[in-house]
Amino acid sequence: MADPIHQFQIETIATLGKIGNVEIAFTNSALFMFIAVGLTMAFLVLATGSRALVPSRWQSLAEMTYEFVETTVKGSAGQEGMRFFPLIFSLFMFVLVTNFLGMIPGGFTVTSHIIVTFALAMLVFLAVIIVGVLGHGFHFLKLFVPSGVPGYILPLVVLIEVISFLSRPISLSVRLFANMLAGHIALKIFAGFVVSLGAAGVWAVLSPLPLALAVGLTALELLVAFLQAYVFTILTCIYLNDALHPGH
Amino acid sequence: MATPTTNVTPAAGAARAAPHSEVAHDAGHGSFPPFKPDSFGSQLLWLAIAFGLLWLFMAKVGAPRVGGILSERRGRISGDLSEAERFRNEASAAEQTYEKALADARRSAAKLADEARQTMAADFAGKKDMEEAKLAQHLAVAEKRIAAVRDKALGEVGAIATDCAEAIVAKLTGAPTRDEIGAAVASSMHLPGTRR
Repeated sequence: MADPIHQFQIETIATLGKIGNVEIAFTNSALFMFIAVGLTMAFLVLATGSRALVPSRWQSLAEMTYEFVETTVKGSAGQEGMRFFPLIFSLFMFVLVTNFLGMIPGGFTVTSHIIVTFALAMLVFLAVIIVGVLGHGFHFLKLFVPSGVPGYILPLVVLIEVISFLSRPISLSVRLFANMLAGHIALKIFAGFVVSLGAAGVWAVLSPLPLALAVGLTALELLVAFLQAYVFTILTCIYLNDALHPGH
Repeated sequence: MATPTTNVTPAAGAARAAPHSEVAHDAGHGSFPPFKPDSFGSQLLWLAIAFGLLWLFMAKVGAPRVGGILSERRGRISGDLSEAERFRNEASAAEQTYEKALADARRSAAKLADEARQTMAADFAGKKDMEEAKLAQHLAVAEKRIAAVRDKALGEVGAIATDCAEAIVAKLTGAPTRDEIGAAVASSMHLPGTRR
């Protein structure tokens, strides 16, 4: 049976050199990052090429994507959140397109690597801290002190709030990474069963079962690919809302 | 897995990269790719470049472009709607003016008709009275003339009858006096006069 882990292997396309002790290479992961970025740019530019008042299908799709993220940002972080719209739109499109590219057979799922999702989560985490401190200074710390909590319980609540705040980049990155990783492994295992059963003589009659499962899982994974991009986006918006309005 | 898959180095850098490749290769079989730190540097670098590029694009081109199209459309729609609203108000104002003018015209037409009717009625009544007075005058003149004619005729009847009776009596009796004849005529004329 095919190794279900093989699809996550980083393969070097060209070694470029070293920075300190770290080898820098152009890899399949980097290739798919650039494909995703290129596709996103091409989509947004080409779809809106005519700037039509009555949109074509492609333009409509670009507008729907934009409005979807716009609604999410405004709903979670308010009108002020629109300042960060380019960042949030970039995050959504990057995660969405890399997730979908991973669904193409033979493709590589950039978001199935914890380092990538963690880097994106840290970007959000740092953005929240910078925006919060720049916007509210010391008052940003009010985020950890919910109003209306009795004094004797306050230290505990603050401790919990701090821990939950610090664990955000971990939960944000692990959620996306684990979903993509687990989904792709499951898909690969069920697809592998089809081949193994097909080659196992009499047992071949059972091979449609895992095939049906693989088909169902593919649909589910497409949903998850979208859903995780959305979850990542909406959580980013909620965290940004904390930075913009830290008073709870 | 029989085929080596990790870190397939290009031929050019093969000699230099070979030791690293071997190390990575061994590690690749032993551990789970997402948790292999030797690829983290490359991934982070390319992620920073690729995502930075996308972010820059979104901030400078992507978001303003789509947002511009959308706000243009929203502005156009709300502009069209307000213009339509304005036209509707104008139309309803024009309709009110028209209705008012129509009502005014109706009222003045009714007034005119009324006045004309009154003038005509007054005129008619005046003319009627005048004609009636004229007719009455004519009637009175005619009656007076008839009466005069009748009186004259009645007056002459006595003379004629006297002459006639005188002639008859003279023929029958000789020559009666004029007074006798006049008395006889008067008494005989009295009879038909009362009978009438």
